[in-house]
Amino acid sequence: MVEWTDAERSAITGLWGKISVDEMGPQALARLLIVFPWTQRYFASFGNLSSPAAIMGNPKVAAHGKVVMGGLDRAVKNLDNVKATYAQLSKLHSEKLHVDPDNFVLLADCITVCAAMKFGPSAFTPDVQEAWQKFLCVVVAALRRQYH
Amino acid sequence: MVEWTEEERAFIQEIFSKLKYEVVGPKSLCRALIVYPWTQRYFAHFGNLYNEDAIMGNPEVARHGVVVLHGLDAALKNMDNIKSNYAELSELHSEKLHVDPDNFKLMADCITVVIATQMRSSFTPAMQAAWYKFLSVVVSALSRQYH
Repeated sequence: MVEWTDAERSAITGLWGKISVDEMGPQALARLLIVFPWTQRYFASFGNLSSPAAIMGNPKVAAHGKVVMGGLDRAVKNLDNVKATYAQLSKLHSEKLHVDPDNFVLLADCITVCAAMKFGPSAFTPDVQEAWQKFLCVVVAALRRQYH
Repeated sequence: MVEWTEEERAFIQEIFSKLKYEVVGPKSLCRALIVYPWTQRYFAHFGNLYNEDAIMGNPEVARHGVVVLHGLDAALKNMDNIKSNYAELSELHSEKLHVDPDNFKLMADCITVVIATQMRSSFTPAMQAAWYKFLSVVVSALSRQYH
C-alpha cells in the first residue's frame, strides 16, 4: 500500500482544492495533444485538431478534458486505495479504448505543467511538486494495472 | 539531423531571452534533488541535503544549478548540430561521473516545471512543445556516448 506522510496528504488535497477541473482539464488535454501529437490518434472523432489554435478552441477537447481531470477526484478522496478505485477505469482504457499506457505519464506531465503555471513558485514549491508527482505516479500505476 | 521550424527556433530563443540562469538553475537542481531524491547520490560531497530547506539553502547546489543550466547554451548556439556539441559532456557523464542517463530526463522535467512557474500563462502549449523537443534532443545527445 502507498504510504503518504501528513505533509503529502495535505499538499495533495490542498492543491486539488484550488484546482478548477473545468479550467485545468481542457488546458491539460489540449497540451497533451499539442506537445505529444501522436495522442491525437485517440480523438479522431473530435473533429479539427489540425493546429494548436484548433485544438485549444475545440469544444470536444474541452469537454473531454473536464471528464479526464474530474476523474482524479476519486483518487484524491481515496488516497489509501487508488489501485482499487481505478480498477474499472484501467480495464476500460486497456480493453475498450486501447490506449497505450505510456501515454498516461504524458498527460500527468501536462497536468503538472499546468499546475506549475497556475500556482507559480510560491505555491507550487518543490515539496508540493514532490507530493503531487507521487500522487500522479500512483494514479498512472493504478491505470496501468489491469493491462495485460 | 533534427529539423526545426522557424516558429520552434523563435520559441526557444524567446525562452532563453527571458531565462534568469541564477534563478532557474538553482531552482531546477533543487527540485531534481527533492522530487527525485535518489539523484542526491551524485552530490554527496555537497554537504547538507537532509531536507527541502537544507537543499534550497545549500550554496553548492545553487552554484551547480547555474553550471548545469549554462550547459544548455551549447545547444542553443548550435541547434542544427546538438549531437556533436555534447560528445565530450556525454563522455564525461558516462565515464567519469557515472550518471544514470535516465536522470537527464528528470532534470529536463524539473527545468521545464521551473520555467512554467516563472513564465506562467506565457508558456503556451506550442512553446512547451518546442521546449520539450529541444530538451529531448539535448538529453539524447548527452546519452549518446554511453555504452
